Order: sequence, then structure tokens, then C-alpha cells
Amino acid sequence: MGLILFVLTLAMVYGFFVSSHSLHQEFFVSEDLLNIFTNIKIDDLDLTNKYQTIDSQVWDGKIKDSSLLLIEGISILNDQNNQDAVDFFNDLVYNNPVAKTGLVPVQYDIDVIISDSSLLGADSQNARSILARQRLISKPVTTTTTI
Amino acid sequence: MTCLIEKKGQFWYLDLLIALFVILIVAVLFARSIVDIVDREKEIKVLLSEGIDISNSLMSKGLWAEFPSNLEWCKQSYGRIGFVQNSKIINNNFNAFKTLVNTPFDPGNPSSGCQNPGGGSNVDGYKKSKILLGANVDYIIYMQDKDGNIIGEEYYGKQLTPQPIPVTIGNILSAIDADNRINIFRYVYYDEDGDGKGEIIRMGISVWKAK
Repeated sequence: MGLILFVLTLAMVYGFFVSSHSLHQEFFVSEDLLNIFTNIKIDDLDLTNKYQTIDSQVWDGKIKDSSLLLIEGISILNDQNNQDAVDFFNDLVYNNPVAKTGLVPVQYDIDVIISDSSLLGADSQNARSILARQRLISKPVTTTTTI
Repeated sequence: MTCLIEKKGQFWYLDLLIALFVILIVAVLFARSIVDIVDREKEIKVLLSEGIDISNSLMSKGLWAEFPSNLEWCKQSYGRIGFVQNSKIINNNFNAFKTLVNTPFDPGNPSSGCQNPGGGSNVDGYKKSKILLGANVDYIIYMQDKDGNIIGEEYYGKQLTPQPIPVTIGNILSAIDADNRINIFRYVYYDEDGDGKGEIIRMGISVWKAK
């Protein structure tokens, strides 16, 4: 009985520390990526070697102006066809969009919300914590990082 | 009859001693475990704070990187390390940072190494970088592309022993000899060859306290 109580109390104390983790990494993911999207142009990217999906979108004429900022590219593509915007975003962030491996650690889910509309449809209802950063372009755009 | 009562008394006394002994051991284990958890959390909080400060500094433009040469952070007694502006890595500043942390100090050659801001003999570049960053912990940084490759197969900061070969994220982290370590990821645009075409990368910062 004493041993059970001992292990249980330890587990509760440890659980408290684990569950009260800080949100700094989520903040950096959200803030840094949004800063990049609002500072870097499509032209700045090495499309031929690093971003083949975006490169093909430029060649196919889906992206007509490659001097746009990345966030503008996402927004305009989303107006034309949501899947193109998703592919564009995934090519920026993931090397495998299905496994969600790439720049963002796999324990985090990320979404871009344009005018209250979710781009990637991340399951934010079941998230343990959500952190959002927002920028105003021609439309309000928010990125959220959830864990 | 008397003998029987004495035996019962002895048996009960032994039970009490064993019970007390067990309770004592459990209490000591419990206290030590709680103290260990609290101490570990304290150290992690310190590491997290240091890691955030270092990452924020690196993500700034910095001061005195390249004027008049990229040795300025090494030569001057002041300055602020940083190599990112508008989410882009400033190649000159980043090269200056690499020069700084890779400048060794040879005790047999007092003019080698970097100027010690606190006076006295020169110090190696990594130690100078810690002074300029205001860091009380050891650190390394590395750049990863979206495929997980370490760009340039290099890491910067504390030289790890044994050297992680090949330079992969797994080998780097397993070469860090520390009880507790904090990893922070920041995101920047990096045009390595300066041709105007680059990529979004992850800058990993690992901090720990030397054993």
C-alpha cells in the first residue's frame, strides 16, 4: 500500500511538471514561419532544386506573379483552389506532407487560417494547447501551432 | 507460560522494527525523488531561459560583425552576436560568427585567440562568443533543411568529443554529454551561396550545462 502511494504521488508530481510545459517552441514555430511568409518572396526560393511543387505551379501558370510574398501566394492560391494553396504550403514546410516530416517537429500540427477559413483543416478541437500569431495583409492571416 | 509471552512480545517488536525500517526507506526515496525532480526542473528552466536568450540574439542583426573585417567580434571587447535580418541570414555576419567560434587559442602563443573583454590573456573564440552572448551554458547551433540534412555538415559552438561523424542530428545530440539538454528550433531563410535563391531552414540551438 505504501509503495503504491509512493509511486502514485511521484507520478502525480512528475505529471504536473510535464503537463505545465512552456509554449516557447510553439511560439517560435508560429512567429518565425509567419515572419518568413511575410518577408520572403516566391522569387527568393530555389524553386528548381528545393521546391519542385511550387516550381510546377509557376510553370503551370497557377502562380502568375512570382514577385509576391509567400503569404500572398498562399492567399491568392487559396482563392483559386484550396488544394493548390495546401500543396504550396506543404512544399514550403514539409518534405513528406503525409507523414508531416520536415521543418516542423512531428509533435506539432500547424494550420494557416485565412479570413476565418482553415487552410489545412488541422484538428484544433482536440489540441492540448494552441498558439496563434496573426498578420494583416490584404486579408487577415493567422498561423496556429497546436500540440 | 512466561516464556510464551516473552516470545510473543519479541515477535511483535521485530514486526514494528521492520515496518519502521520500510517506512523510513520509502520516505527517504520519496524525499530524494521529489528533490531530484524539483532540481531537474529548476535546471531545465535555467537552460530554457538561456537557450531563448541565445536564440533571440542569433536571430537579431547583431553589432560589429564585419567592420572593418569579419574578425571584429573576435578583436573587439564589445559587440552583439546576431546574423538574421527580416528573417534572412546575413551571410557576412554568419561568416563572422563562424570565424569567431572557430578561432582557437594556443596557450603557447599568447597573441592567438580572441581578446578577452574582461582583460587578461586571450581566450578562444567559442569562449568569447559565450561572453558576447551572455551565456553561462554551453551551446551548439546547426542548420537543417526540410529533408533533415545538416547544411554544410557542420555545427557551430562547443566542439564535441568525440566528433559526431557523420554530422547528423542524431550523432550531434548523442555526442552532448549532459544530464539535461534543451533544444530550440528557429526558422530562417538561408541563401548559402548568395545567388538570390535560397530555402527556408531550421536553426537548431542546443544548450546544456557541462558536467
